[in-house]
Amino acid sequence: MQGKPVVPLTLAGVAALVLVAITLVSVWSLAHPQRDPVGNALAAMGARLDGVRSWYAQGPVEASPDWQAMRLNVPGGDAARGRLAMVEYGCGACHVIPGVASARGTVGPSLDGLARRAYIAGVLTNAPGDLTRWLMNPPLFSPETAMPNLGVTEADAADMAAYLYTLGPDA
Amino acid sequence: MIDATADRPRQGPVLEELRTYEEAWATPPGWRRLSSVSHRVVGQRFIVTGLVFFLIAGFLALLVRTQLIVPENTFLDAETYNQVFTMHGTLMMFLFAIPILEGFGVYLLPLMLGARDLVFPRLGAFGYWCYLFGGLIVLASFVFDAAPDGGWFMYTPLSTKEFTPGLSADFWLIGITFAEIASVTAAVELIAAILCTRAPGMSLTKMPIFAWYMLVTAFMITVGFPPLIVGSILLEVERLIGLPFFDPALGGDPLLWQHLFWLFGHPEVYIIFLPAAGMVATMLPTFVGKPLFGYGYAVAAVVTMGFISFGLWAHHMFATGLPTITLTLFSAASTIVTIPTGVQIFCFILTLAQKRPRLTVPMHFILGFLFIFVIGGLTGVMLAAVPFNWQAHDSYFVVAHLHYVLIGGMVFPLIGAFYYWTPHFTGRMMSERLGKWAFWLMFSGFHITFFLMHITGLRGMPRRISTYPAGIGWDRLNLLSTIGSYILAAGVVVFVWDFIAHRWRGPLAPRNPWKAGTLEWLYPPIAPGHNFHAIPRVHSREPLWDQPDLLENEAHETRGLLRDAPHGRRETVGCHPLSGEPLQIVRLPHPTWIPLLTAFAVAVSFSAVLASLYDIAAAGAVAALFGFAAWAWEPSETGQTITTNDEGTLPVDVASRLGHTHIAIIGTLMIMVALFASVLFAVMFLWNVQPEFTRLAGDPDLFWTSIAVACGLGMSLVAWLARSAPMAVLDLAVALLAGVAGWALYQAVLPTDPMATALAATLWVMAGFIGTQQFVLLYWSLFLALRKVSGQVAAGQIVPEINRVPYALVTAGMLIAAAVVLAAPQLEVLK
Amino acid sequence: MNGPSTLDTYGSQTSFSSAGTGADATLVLTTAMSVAAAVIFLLVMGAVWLAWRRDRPGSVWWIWGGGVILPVIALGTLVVASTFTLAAIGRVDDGAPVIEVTGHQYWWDIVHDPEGRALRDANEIVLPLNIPVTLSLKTEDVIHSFWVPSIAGKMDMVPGRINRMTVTATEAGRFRGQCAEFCGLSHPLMAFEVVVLPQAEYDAYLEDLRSEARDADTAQLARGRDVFLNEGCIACHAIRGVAEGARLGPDLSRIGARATLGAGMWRMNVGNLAGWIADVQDMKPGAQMPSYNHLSGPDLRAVAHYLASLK
Repeated sequence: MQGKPVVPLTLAGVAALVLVAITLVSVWSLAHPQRDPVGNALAAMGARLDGVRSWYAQGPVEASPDWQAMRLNVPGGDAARGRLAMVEYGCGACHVIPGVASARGTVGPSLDGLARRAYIAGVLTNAPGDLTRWLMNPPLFSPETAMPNLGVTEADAADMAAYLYTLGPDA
Repeated sequence: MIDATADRPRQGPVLEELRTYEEAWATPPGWRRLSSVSHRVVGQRFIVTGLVFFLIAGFLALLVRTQLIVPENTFLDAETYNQVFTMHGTLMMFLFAIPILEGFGVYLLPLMLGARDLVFPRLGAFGYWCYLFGGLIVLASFVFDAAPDGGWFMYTPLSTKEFTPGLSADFWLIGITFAEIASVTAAVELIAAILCTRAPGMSLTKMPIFAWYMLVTAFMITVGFPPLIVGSILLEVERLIGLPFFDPALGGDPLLWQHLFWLFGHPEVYIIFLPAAGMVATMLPTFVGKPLFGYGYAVAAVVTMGFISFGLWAHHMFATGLPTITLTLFSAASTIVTIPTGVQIFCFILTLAQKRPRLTVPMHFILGFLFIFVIGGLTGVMLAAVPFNWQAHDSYFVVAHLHYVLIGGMVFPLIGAFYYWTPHFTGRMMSERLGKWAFWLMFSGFHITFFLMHITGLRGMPRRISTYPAGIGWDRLNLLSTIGSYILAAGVVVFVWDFIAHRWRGPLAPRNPWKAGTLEWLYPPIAPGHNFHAIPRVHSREPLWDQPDLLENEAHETRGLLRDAPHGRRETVGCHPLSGEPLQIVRLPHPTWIPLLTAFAVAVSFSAVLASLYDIAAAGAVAALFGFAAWAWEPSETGQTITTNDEGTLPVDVASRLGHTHIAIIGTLMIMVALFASVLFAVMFLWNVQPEFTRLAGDPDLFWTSIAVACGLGMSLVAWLARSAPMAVLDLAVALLAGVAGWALYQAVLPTDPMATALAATLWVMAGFIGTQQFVLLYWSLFLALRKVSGQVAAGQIVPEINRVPYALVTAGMLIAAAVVLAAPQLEVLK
Repeated sequence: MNGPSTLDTYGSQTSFSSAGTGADATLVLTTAMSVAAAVIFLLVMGAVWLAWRRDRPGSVWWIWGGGVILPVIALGTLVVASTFTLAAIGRVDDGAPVIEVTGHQYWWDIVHDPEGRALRDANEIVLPLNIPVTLSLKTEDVIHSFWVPSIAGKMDMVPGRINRMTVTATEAGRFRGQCAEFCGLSHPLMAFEVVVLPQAEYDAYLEDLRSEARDADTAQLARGRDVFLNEGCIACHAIRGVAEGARLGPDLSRIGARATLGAGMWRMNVGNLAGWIADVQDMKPGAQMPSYNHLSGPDLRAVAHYLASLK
């Protein structure tokens, strides 16, 4: 192979590529973790991809209205915001919440498949308005409950309810 | 490139007149192969076992990376994660890196040096079984759900009984200490082999560079491993009985463990790097087609590195609160090691400059080694700067650095070496195509995984955490690192597949497939079990290049020493350690089960300690002692001579200072002295850091101390007399004095309470260590006396004694040193 | 709440943006060394490249130049720079105010002015802006390591020793630190927050540490306080003015004012507090505190609300 200068050129080329990549990543690394333009762009891209994925998951529009989905529709609730609010209020300390990595508490029931339940905490019907009100002040409806009043605002409660109703309506 | 069409005999032809000779060297077939002690068999066992441990440890690494792929992952729970990263480090460092490199040394050195086997084949086999059983003990912890979880560094007090109840730490301490027996025995064996069995004419300056690297490595092992062995024993004793070596409330210090650990741990990095660099220095000239440039510089650099590496350990402890002056000194010392490293790197670069190399698979790995290792070295220099170290220490920056050094400096050359020497193992070539795939996958995967870790670390991520919160700035870096690790693993899988599949797919290897210059390629692969039909005289470092007749003739017709063995015995040429001129004929053992059985007895003993079954442990130890005696129970052959064609008449198994047994005893003594020095270090260290506890140690008995000194001196004297007067009664006298000295030392420490203070406990350990030496001498002397009485050693044969004299001298020296330390408080009173 | 974001849960934890004199000087050193290392790396790779292209032996002077002279110059510079940096940041200021930090499995006990007023807090270290402070680092059990990347490098906490280090915070804000020496099962969950305050606010904070904890001024908070007193919490935890003296666990006198719960791990709020009390062992395996899952629902709520009110 002595006659082929191509091979060392390839070697040098790959080495140069590695160096360039290393330099770029190093520059990126200098960004403050909480003020990171590349990271923010990536996060935004991820959010858009989420939108596309959920649109794709919905499938083609059906001829008849989806009564189940309409029953669980929370007016003004945004599931994506609700997911973040769950982290914010510390729901995960007591509950397992699918989709929230840090939520794996075993104090209260898992919230997986919440959309399929008939009652909330055995005292309220499982309907959007009731769930929102429950989240805002559980002891009001169930005096002996261990779940505290977390000071949830109405908007946040609606968001969280919207997220919780994404958990297991299909099964 | 490889002409594989010719179907050649895979063994040297069996010549009718050499039949007894061939039979003498045959490896037993079938399951009796386990009794083989040949360096080729033992070396391959080491290599294959090491590779298996590498794969297990690599799999554990993938578990670690998978756990860290996203924040707050629940793939592994915290306990399992701690076990996984502990075992990853432990297996990689203790059960993969060192054994596999020693395996290559065991396999290659006799072939390169022109010997038919190592000088102590049974010791090598025994070492292998210790390694295997020790490794199995460590692995067995998974079965008992007691895998060690204290980190491969086992820092106290986290690893003490209080914070790690259960058996997990004991599995680590006992298994690893057991496996280390393999490392130190192999080191002694390699020292003796390199110095004493080279081809005629192979002076130290004509020795293949790999032998130099291994020689320095072996010496480093003899001095570097004892501190950890002592540390492990102290910790295990603290765990079992409660002696307070590391308890600050009783005058101990957790930093004692760190000092002992890194006194071993830092040289270990070089012990891992040097053999791999030696492989590079061997392979590179082959592909360039020119000798290594700057051989003398490289040798000087390696020797220097061996010395410097023992003065750097404290740079692993910069954050423990050492005084500023200590920090500055160790910081400066740590940077100095760059110079010998730089010299070696530039020797490689200048070797490359001589001629355009052939870009084979091993050459890829050598270039990868240069690229990666230089980065690792530079980040290492950065870490030597104390302020930077305070930020980077125990962060992912260090993880990145150490993997650059160890994977770049050891794994890449090692896999290159697999591609290079596998034809010698199996007679077939590994695939060039798959090899390049393996290289590029590993190279790119490696950088993706580990380069980013520098950044992750400086962004504040500590090591050894099983989970991290989202949004701190580590999420994507970890994701990318994990993806990189899968690519790296894919490269390893390709290599392993190639290593397995080449045995039936690979083309047959031609004679000297890489056109190398070193002696191991004399035969067409696979070389016969005796390595050389005759041992040729060597005139240069690359005999196959400079002595054309070697490759022009059929290998089995090579002219040289010891063409046959009329007595049907295994033997090889022993040489003068410096000049390489023939000095003696070394008789070598035939296949035997004793090493396996003895190692098994020791394994039973160690496992029984683990299970707290002390009766069985004692029985195992006694069985091992019988094993050692049976091992050495053979008639002395000193005084016989053999007439050779070329070199005149040579004596068999000489008993001189230049003989192999003497050199091996010196190597063993280095281990003993290093062990003793480690204990002495512990005493001095505790004395220094906890001065208020020195009085509390109680006063050892001055009378018994004096008796111990007297017996020690007397023992040396009698042993010295006994060297030339082969009377059994003198051996009995040595035995008696050894016993009395041990007893006196025990009486001397009796007034101190080892449970009360760490210093007293350490003094007891020192007395115990000396007592063990006395016991070994006692055992040995009784054994010699028995041999003389039974007529195995005839009058005029003075072989075994000369080996005991230096041993007794050193033991007496240790005894005196121990006695001085014991008597010191008394003398203070007298003042 | 508008735009909840987990990013604000934690303070900054990176050595790339320095907010302390130690981290500042180290960052300069890091940058210089990284650039030098990159240059040397390129030089060596350039040498490899030249060597590859070359076809005749080079001079032995390359070994001297590349293996000895170049390293000696580079290392000499490095040692000098590093030593000066070390002299600048490694000095312990004996006159500075002292904060004693004691590592426990898996939390941090903090005492401001240990020789004098001995003001106790936990898991959140408040530092004055631009004023040197000497940290006195100890441990009660195993080895821990104190590391706030944005403020300064790390220092181990070793049993039987007291390590001291002087730090000066140069930027107000919240910074996160974490234990950097493997210390057992929940080592990854042993973090803390550093809050840097201007002098006036810092003084107010110290004043706050002297006064009694906020009173329980509603029926529910009073019930929470009673639960705290009656359920055994006081065996380990102290709340000034309610139950003092216990030191086995973190001081809770102003727990509600901290940004995080469980040693820098979870956002401080009633939800996390309730979950924490009811199942500590699930959230932090190996912690000394047992899970209080025998409390009645209303008791659990009350004590969580009570603790959250202690600001």
